[in-house]
Amino acid sequence: MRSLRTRLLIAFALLSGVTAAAVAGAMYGQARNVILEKAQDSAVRQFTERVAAMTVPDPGALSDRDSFGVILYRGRPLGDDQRVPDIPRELRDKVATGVVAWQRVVHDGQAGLVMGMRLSDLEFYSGRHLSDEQDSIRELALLAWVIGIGSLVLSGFLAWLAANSVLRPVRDLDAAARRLGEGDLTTRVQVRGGDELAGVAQTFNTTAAALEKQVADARRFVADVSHELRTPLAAMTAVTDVLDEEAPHLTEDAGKAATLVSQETRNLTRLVNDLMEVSRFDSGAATLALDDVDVAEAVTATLRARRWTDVVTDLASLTARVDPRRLDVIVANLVGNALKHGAAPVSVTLRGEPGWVIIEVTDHGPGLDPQVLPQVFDRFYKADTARTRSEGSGLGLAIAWENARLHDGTLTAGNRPDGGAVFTLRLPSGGSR
Amino acid sequence: MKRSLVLVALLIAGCGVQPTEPIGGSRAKGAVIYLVQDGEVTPVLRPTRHESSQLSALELLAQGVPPGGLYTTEVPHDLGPKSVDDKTVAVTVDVTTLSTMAVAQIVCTAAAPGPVTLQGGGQTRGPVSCPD
Repeated sequence: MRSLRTRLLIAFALLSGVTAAAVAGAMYGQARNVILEKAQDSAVRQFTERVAAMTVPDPGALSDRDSFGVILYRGRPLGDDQRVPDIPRELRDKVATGVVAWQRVVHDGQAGLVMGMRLSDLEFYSGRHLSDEQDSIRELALLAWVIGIGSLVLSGFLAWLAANSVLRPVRDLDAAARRLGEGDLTTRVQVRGGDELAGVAQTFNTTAAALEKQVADARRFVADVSHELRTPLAAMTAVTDVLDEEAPHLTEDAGKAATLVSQETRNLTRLVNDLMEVSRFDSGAATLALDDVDVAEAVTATLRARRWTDVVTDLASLTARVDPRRLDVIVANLVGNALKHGAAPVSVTLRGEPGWVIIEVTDHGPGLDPQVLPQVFDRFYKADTARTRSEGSGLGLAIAWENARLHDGTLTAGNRPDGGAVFTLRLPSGGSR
Repeated sequence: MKRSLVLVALLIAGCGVQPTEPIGGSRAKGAVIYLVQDGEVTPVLRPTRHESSQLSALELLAQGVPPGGLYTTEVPHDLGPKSVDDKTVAVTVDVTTLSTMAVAQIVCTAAAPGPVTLQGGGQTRGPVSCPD
């Protein structure tokens, strides 16, 4: 399938090529015929006048610098007969009918004109070359080719311009549709003019706006729900402390129930908190509180606060301008995820590159299924579909990814060659740009 | 692709000067009569306004030549040509009065493909051929 540009170019080139060939060809053909006919008519007139002025049959009277003359008396040449073979048989037949006749001959690329007439027993012939006319016609042909090829090139250039002017909006639409597909719902295209493509662009903008509104509505709904759940959850959380204290004193079944309620309430609280965090990212309300942070110290603090003592660390001493709370969230989510889904030992390494700090969290589990890699940062994505209940909210990696993005950094997932998942966080050390 | 190549080849071949078939123009004008020079009949050209027939050539022959010229004629002014075909030439004058030279002049001017018989004044002469 050829591209639209190629097809447009070919159509234009064909059209202009045919037109140029037709015009140049017709002009050339016409000019050539006029030149030849003029030369022939004048030569024939000169020939008949010379015959009419003749009293004694004299071949010499028919020849000059540019032409030769032959007179046949009863089929035999008078005088010099060298040029007799130059007279075509068909011409002699034509002359025998009593008319003045002429014929154009081409011999070795040299064009010539042979004329003849017959009076009684006498046949008069004269021949002359047409090299001057041939030169003129050759120049004409050259001119026709130059004009034809020139117009072809020019039209190709014009076609290229036209194709661009048509295809630019198409390209814009293509890029915009791609951006929209990648999740940038604010994408709009510029509507130029009022043609069909402008109509498509208009439709695209309307559709994108509708889509953006729907997504915004859905997100606002999630935010509102989370917010509304917060107050009752706060009350419930307060109650769980009481339940935890009371559980050992209750009967076995009641104690189990109380522990379960308490545990699930804490999970629900974490889920709601994560949902609100995600909502803040979606609404653009998330902001960075940058500070000069000793990254190694921050990572150590994160691990210590969660009592993850068996995590292997290899931390270079680095200071970077990051949001310490968000760094904590990222590291906690990555290490928590590794501890939950990977196998020990989990290690955290910190190293620096010019302008960047890089934190890698690796585990020694089976690694991530390559099919899973693209979705690993999706919300509520569960790599293990058999496990319907996870202790996490299902939003941890998504939040970590959003936090990295907020720093203008990246968070990527991959597998080590010797097995085990590796999550790589890259943050600009000089703060968000 | 092949077709366009053929087209281009035709275009290139169509350039330049091409040979033609013989092209016919107007009828040839002028007449050939035979006069005497140094005791021999010789073809001489005479301009005419229109295409001339053998009969009109004979009439031209009968008009004679201006005196003092290169050529002489032995054909009398009152030849009175009546008709010419491939075998006979009919005139008014008595053909037996014509000199041998005059007969040669008439027969040659008549330009018949073969020998012709002269008829005139109730007499015939010939058939006679034009001497080469």
